Amino acid sequence: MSATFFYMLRRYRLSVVFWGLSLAVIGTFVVLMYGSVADKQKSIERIMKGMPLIVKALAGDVSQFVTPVGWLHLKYFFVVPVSFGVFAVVTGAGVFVHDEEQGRLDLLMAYPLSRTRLFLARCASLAVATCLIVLVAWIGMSAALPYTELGVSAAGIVLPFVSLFLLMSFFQALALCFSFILPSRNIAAGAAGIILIVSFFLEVFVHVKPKLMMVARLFPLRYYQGGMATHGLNVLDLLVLLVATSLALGVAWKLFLSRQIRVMGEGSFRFGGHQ
Amino acid sequence: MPSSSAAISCQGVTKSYGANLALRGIDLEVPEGEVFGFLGPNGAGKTTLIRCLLNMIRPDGGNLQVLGRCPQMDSVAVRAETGYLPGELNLDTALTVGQILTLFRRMRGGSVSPRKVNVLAERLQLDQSRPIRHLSKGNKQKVGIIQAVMHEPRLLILDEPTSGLDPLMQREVLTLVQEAKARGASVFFSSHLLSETEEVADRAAIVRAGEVVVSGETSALMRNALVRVSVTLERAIAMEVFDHLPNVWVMANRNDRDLALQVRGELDALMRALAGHGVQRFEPVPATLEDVFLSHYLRMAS
Repeated sequence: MSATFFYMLRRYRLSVVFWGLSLAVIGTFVVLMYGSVADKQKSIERIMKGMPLIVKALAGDVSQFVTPVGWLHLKYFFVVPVSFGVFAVVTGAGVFVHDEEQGRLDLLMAYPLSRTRLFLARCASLAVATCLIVLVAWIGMSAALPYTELGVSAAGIVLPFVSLFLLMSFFQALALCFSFILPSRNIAAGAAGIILIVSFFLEVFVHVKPKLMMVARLFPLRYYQGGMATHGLNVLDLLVLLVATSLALGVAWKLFLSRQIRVMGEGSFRFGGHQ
Repeated sequence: MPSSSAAISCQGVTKSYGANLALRGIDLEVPEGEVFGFLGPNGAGKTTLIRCLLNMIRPDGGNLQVLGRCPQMDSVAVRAETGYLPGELNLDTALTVGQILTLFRRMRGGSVSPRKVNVLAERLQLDQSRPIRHLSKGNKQKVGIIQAVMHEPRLLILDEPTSGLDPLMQREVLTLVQEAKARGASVFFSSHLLSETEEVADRAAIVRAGEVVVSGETSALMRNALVRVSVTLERAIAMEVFDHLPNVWVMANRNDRDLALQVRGELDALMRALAGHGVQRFEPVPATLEDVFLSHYLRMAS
């Protein structure tokens, strides 16, 4: 089981470097930018007043701009899930189906490892890789904190990153689940990605159309606390994400146990004729 | 541990992919310690059966036993004692040969020594420092063969093992098969190359469209095969003569005097028919497994 775990972790190493550094650079930039807007709330509010509804919605609550937590949330933690989500849905959908579509899973599954242990090893390596990315991102942001007037400590932004990790884990589990139901890895990643995007826009527009709250509650971003978790994690929201992730993983595990492993070239529900 | 004299036992195994019936009730028995040739053209159901044996796919019906165990209920134990070479071998191209063999060794739980792997790599002339992405098909096949045999399994399942290998390496692989047999292992050898099956297999089965059309000892199968006979006559013979000989087919004819024939069973009737036409040459060619294969296909087609 450890051989599979470390083999998969090795495969994620470039993603860890790329995504970790990218998120760290963005985080550093956002933190350092705070000083330039901290004393400009009045002028920002004046400019935003004349903007169309959609721009206001996308910009977020302007009054939050000048608070350290509001700034970090609106400019980093709220938008990062959309880009980092690409990693989540692609890797989640590819945990098994990538190797299956490449025709490599047959051989790997001929080794004496039960499907449950194989599932655990691969999911654990993805979770660790995601955790490492979040860790690098946290280090990047933390390194810039002493040079700003945010007044937030490195320890203070741990919980928002925990919240980010949980949200990404949910989308990975969802994409993994979809990969066992939908015809291909790309379609599975796309389906999970659509849910992420819809969820994001619901959160954007719920500020200008409160009636959307009912729908937004059905989507995962509602339970993601982002920068607001600097004040502490909302346990209920945390539990909702944890339960949803566990549920998606549980369904994915059951589907994998009964899965008929496809050979390369089979990309649909119907198996092509092969010898 | 369950005991059984059969390494593989299949009874009425069926498997379909949607409307496509891939296995239509496969019955076969592979005795322990034997090399069993599983022959058939592409699409006959060979790989489907192998994938059922290793629990990658599940049969729709019938009963399967591998080394006395049910591969669906006890798949880890079955795979621990089995070495498998897939027909379509795809390896992680980001690794080197040495790295992937180390991975395979570790996935066997450390039961294989690095030395054993090195010996096999040396024997197959495989450079372990080379990246997989730079390997030819034949060299990738060598990686597949090493990982299948390195733990000296009780059962070797080889799907087209010599595919992509040069003649020297083909011979080396057949030697490995014979060595596995010599230490008491069973080998399930799927191939569409009849010559190599004939060389190493104690028994063989021919599968067509998901059904075993014939199985038995390789030598017995060849005895019952079509015999090719080349004949040269002094005087021309009317082709209608052969219409009355039920087990004789004219494959080639030149001037009604030089003939290539295929005969099933006794040659007596043919010799009687040719008598009186001045037989100058009568050369029966010994049957090969190829002939067995073709004879069954000709029979099915007719």
